[in-house]
Amino acid sequence: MSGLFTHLLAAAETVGADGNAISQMLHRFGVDWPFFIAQVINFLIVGSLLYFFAVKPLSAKLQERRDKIEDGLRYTDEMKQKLDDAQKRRDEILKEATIQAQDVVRQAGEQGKAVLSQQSQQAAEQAEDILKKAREQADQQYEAMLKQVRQEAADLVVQTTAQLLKRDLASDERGRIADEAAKSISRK
Amino acid sequence: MVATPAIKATARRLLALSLDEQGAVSAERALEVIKVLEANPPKRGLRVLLKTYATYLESHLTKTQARIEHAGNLDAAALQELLTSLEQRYNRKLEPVVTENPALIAGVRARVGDDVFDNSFASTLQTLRQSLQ
Repeated sequence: MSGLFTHLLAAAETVGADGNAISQMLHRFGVDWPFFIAQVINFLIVGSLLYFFAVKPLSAKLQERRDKIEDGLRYTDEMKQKLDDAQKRRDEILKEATIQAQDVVRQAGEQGKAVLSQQSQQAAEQAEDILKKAREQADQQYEAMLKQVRQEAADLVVQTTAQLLKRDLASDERGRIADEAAKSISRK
Repeated sequence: MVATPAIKATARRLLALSLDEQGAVSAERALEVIKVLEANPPKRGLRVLLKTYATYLESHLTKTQARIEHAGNLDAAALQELLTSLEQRYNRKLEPVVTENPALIAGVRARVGDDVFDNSFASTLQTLRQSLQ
């Protein structure tokens, strides 16, 4: 490389000395203008083909991939934000549900106490009613029994007295009593 | 058929024809009434008329009878005294119907119409029974 540079410096110094020297130098380097122009055109064609059929689609593809990656990252951020919001919402709902559950448990306890108290009172009233009815029934049975005993005793006394009177009253006594009874009715 | 007011009035007239001068039911007069009815029956309601007449006769007999029940021998004087007192009370002559009733145990029971005069041991014992109950 350094050799080539030395040759070029030497050629430049030579140009100043002689104008015809450039064409000689180029000739000396082997430059063939038609071939050179053909090479340039060839290069441009190949470059254009490369640009339109390789570089440009590849660039578009890269841009598309980059956009997709950016969309994915943005979507990930949004999802993360939504996840955070959902977590917060879940915590709030859990907290609210816990409070409501505690309220429900407290109310259930209070209602249970009230129902228990009411049922206890009703049971006491029913027991009192049963006792009262039992007492009344016992009193009624006692009265009925007492009445029956009195009736039987009265029947027994009357029957016994009647039998004794029928047996012991003499005929003349019956007549005397009948006379007295007739007179008694007459005097009334 | 139900006794109409006209049938009742006819039955009352027949009853009046069946009484004697003292106002007591006369069996002869009652028989005559029935014979006349048999000979001249009404066009309608003979059966009802006879039933009504019998009811009035029974009611009148009950009012003019003194049904006297007694247990033991009842002296004739005591019976007459009782009958006289009842006639004075009702201000009419009463026909005595005397029967013995051992269920009275001792004493007398007299009945005129719906009125009952009971002076017997049976009634006394019944009163005793009620007071004991």
